Amino acid sequence: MATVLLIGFGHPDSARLAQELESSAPHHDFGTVGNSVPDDVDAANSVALIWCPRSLEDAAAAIADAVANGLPTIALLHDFAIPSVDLSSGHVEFSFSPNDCAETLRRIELALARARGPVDRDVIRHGDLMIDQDRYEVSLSGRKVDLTYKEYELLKYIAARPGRVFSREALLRAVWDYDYFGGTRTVDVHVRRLRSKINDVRYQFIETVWNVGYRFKSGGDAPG
Amino acid sequence: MTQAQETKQRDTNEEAIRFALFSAHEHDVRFIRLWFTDILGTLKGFAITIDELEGVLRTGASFDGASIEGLAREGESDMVAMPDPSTWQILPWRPRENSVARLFCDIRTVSGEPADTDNREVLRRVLRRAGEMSLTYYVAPELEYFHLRSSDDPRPYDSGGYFDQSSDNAGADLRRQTVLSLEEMGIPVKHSHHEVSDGQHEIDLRHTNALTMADSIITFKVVVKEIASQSGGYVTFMPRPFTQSNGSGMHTHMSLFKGDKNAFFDSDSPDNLSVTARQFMAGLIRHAPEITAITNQWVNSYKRLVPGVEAPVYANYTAGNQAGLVRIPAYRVDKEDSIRIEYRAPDSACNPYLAYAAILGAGLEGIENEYELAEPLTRDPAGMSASERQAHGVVQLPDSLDSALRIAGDSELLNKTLGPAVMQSFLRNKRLEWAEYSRTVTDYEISRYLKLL
Repeated sequence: MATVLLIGFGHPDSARLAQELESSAPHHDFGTVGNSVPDDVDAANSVALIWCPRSLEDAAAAIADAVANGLPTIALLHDFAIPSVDLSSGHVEFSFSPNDCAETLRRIELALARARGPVDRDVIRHGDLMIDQDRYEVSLSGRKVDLTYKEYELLKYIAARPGRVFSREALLRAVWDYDYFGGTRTVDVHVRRLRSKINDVRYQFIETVWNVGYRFKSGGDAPG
Repeated sequence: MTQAQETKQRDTNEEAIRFALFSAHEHDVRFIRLWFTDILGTLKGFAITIDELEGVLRTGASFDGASIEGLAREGESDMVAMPDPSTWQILPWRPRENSVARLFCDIRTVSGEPADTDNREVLRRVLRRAGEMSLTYYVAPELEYFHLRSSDDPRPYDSGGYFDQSSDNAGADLRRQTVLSLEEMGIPVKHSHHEVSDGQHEIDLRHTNALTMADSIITFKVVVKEIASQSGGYVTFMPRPFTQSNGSGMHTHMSLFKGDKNAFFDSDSPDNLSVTARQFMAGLIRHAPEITAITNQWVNSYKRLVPGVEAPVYANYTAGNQAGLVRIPAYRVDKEDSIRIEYRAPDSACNPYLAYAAILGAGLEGIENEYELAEPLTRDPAGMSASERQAHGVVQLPDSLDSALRIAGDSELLNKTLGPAVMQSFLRNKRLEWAEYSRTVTDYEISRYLKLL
């Protein structure tokens, strides 16, 4: 979800478009903000949608303002206005009015996606083990593994730092709350359960380091 | 807590909430059961739909606490069930589509304070006290129960004996299914076997911290009953359902750890028991009569705590003898982690939160006040005369709910450990139960007196 700043939307036609957008994309926040970008804008998660049908100057100023604020910007313009507006900044998209709600929405999504860069799902991969941190999912050789929350957190923590040896104390501090009454033996219990779920004949991901703690073996080396 | 700790806890909580929300989506969860317990440890709760999940995870769900035994104080019936997102769990015996999940809840007042009658909070308070002494309390219960044909036909489901492995033991199949379901719910099982009596089974859970374990015991009972009912059977955790059979106990193995070190172990001591272990045991033994009302809270509990059915009757410490109240189970000499203390009074029908709070409270009292542990008895106190027992300092455990309540009512330890609010409603509830029992004419009286008198 993102915030869509509706800039210059004073005209009845633009108000109608705003309404349509709002009802067809309830996952976004639509906010009418007058003719300029507010100071407290969250640039990382917003897009500016500019429609100033009455004044070319207003449109140009609004575009400059949005670009200066680092916002992905979409300008809805009449075709005759194009030569008068500086569209040289790479962040500006334009669309000819009168505007269709579906097209505008599509442009909003595109602008957002471009601003966020290439899709970079937070995934940790080791051999056949995949931890998708965006979806809180773990799979082994394509088969989903059902983990409890703490098992998941423990696996995610050590799998993100393969090869490093962690003491039970360190794992407890990293994965459990401060308010937790478990103590370090809890770590052993969770490691045992995790192993039973993510190890099979071919893979052993979590290795016990005698008298120290545990280590994640990248690639899941076959046991000796 | 420092600010950094608070921030971390908030982040952990947020991460746990997101985990629950994704899991709910992934498993197509439609209903979520919010679980908590009343003052007797009976599971209570209500269901919310998936649409409400995120809001409830963040701000809790209000309910009328007045209808839950011992929860609300007079004049404040509105309470808030605040889910603990790290307890998120899909119920494995429900259908895979439209599945059902559960969350354990803390109980708060409407102003957001922990309710002083909340079982989890009571236990947490004692665990914090241990934490201030740098001690972590681990428990591992052995839960016994009877598997019956049905609640209307309470005959044993099978006729296996102790450790029987024969294939005609129908109960064994159910026990295996039960263990699998428990493991699926994140409750590790150490081992399970058929117990002494027909239809009696025991499942031993692997040690963990007492709060997680108390939650697990509540879940355990639901799972065991659920699996039994699927086969048309019925499970009871009644402490002593049959006069001719042993009762169902919840012997609990426990240890205290200081970081990675077992605080009960001392290689320089001839029996490997540390001073801490001896003081803890002395605390258990001295306060055992006071806490028996909590660990054995029903009229029927005292039909188990009698001589001749392998249950403790005296507050004593025995070295090898099975029948004592406190004993040191066999351990591997080369594994210092495995030395532990077993407390044998509790039955499977106790409120595990209050029971573990009271037991730990008694043990900590021994450590804080440096109690001395008497030498273990070499003779069974049941075979001693009253004066011999007195000479050995052996005290009898209460032999009825009535006498247990009298001792508990005067207990400073319980008042301090469980808090006055809990003690007040517990005693009120239990005195009513005793009064009702006392005026009931029993089968025993009819069969014994009707024709004779």
